[in-house]
Amino acid sequence: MANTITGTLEGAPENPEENKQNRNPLDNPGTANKSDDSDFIKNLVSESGAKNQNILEAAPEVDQSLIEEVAPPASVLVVLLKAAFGLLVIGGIASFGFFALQLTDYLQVINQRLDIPNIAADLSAKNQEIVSIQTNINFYRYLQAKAYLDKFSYDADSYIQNYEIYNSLTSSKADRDKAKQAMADSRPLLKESFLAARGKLILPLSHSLVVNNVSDSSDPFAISVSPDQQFIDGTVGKLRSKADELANSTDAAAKLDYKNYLYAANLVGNNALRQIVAAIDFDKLSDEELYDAIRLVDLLAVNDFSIIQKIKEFRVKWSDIIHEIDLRTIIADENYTKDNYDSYGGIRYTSYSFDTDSRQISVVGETRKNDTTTFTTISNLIDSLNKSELFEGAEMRSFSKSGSDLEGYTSSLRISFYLKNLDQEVQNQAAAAASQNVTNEPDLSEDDSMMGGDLLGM
Amino acid sequence: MENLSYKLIVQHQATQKKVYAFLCLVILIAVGAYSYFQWQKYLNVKDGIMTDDVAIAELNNSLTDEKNAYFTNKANFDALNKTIDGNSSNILPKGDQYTELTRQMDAIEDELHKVGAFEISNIDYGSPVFDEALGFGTLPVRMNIKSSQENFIKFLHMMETSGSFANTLRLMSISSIRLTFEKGGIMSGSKMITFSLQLNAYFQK
Repeated sequence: MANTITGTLEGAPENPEENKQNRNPLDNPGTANKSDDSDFIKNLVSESGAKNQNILEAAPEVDQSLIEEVAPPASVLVVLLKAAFGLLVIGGIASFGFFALQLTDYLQVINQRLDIPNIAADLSAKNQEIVSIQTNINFYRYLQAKAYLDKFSYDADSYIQNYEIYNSLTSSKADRDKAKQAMADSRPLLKESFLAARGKLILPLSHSLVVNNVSDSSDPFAISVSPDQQFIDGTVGKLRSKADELANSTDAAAKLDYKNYLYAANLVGNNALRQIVAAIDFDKLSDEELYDAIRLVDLLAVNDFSIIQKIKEFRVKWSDIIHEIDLRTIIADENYTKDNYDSYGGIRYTSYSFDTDSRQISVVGETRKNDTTTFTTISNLIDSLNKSELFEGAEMRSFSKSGSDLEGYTSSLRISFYLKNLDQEVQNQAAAAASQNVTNEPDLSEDDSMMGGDLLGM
Repeated sequence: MENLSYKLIVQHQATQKKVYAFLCLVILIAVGAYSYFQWQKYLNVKDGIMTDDVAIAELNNSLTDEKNAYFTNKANFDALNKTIDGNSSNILPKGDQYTELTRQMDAIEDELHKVGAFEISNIDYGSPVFDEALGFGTLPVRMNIKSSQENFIKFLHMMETSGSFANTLRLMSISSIRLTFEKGGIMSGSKMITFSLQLNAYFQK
């Protein structure tokens, strides 16, 4: 700062003369008016001859450009929030990555490259291992069940034959007694094989699986079919594949094994058979109930025995039908025997005609009486046939007579009638038993029809 | 004096605080919920693996038992199979085997003829038909027979009980019968019957 008269900024003058000159007149107010002071004052206001000089220089101007460059200080909170945001995003990605690696197959490539275990895949693999082991268990179990059922059916064949002989209307007493004894003798064998078969059939086919997330359709490790069906399909598949390996073999033993595998596969998932077998209390079965049970098991098992049984189910016992015709004829003609006609008259048949397909029976013959009531005899015969439990629809619409009081009167008869459809009832019962879920004890019918008795009614 | 840009910056900072705070909250909730549920799933899967390990050990024991039981009895099973197959071949032969059936009919005739009149005058075989759906085939047979009444009933019994492992007679069923009683008879008190019989003999593939 130039010309600093007061010397405040540049330092005090160094000599007295200067001091005197520089002395502030305001410091000595008494002497303010003195001429020394006036000189001083003059000196104050004038210097080097310059006129009108400022004490202070112009006020400094504020450089606004500097202020413009100053930003507000950074907010610590914003920084912290940004950091937190970043950490959360990273944490989220890490979390997703971890669980994706462990529970899904989205990052399967990374799992494989870095050999990182995926526990969902591990669980799925263990489930598959359980399915595989249980399938193998079922495989051996059902081969045994098939074998025990075969034994049961094989032993039961003689039981069935003896039962039918025992209950036949035309069997002799000796044959009936022999058949009864044979039935009793075969019971222990039947029980042994039946219980062995049941022991295998009633065991569960499936095993509980820990499922990752069945309800999540996006879960790649979810099981797509019901667990029980998976075991059934696996077991059937294994048995059938074993059968396929032997399908074209010409070796006799291989052909037998081929059939074994196929029939065992038919048993798997056969719930009707399993339920029937589980429901039967063998010791409490009567002869007829055992007979019905054997037939039902043979029908449901779907093997060679079931084919044979099916054919036998629909066989008609014509010998018993002929016997029933004789019984009905005796009701219409009390003297009816085949040898008394010439002596006493009555009814005599000259021919029978039976047809299984149409279930129609025709009888042709004649009736002879000493009086004129041959038509009554024929009518009585028709009514008697219609009252039979086995027949229906017996009719004859045209009657004729010839003869005289001396020789007696003769009428020809030609009656057609039909077997009642008991076979259809048997077939329906078998089909119903095969399709129903049995939850109660079987209703074992006591009906002893000629066609072989009633099936277990369920 | 603050200028406009300074104010804008301050305002921007305030907005950032709000936005980041909001984002942090949202992400925290989302990541937290996701992690929680996935962790539960993870724990369930781990428990499941432990459960499966126990189950696998038990099943392996059961498998060993079943295999042993099967192979122990396999020889008996195979022997029974062979017996059944052999007997089945008699009652439900492979193929129509009509010559074997003819021999059986001759044997029946011979047996019944010893105790009374029984004569098969002719046998006619129709074309065999195999039903894939049913699993068996049918061979139609027509016979004309002359017989005593007793033998006629016995013959009917044989047909009705055929297909049994006990008698090894071929499985047959009677389709139709036409019979005629003759007056008088060969044996006293016994009528002769002439009957025409149509029956089905069954076979497997």
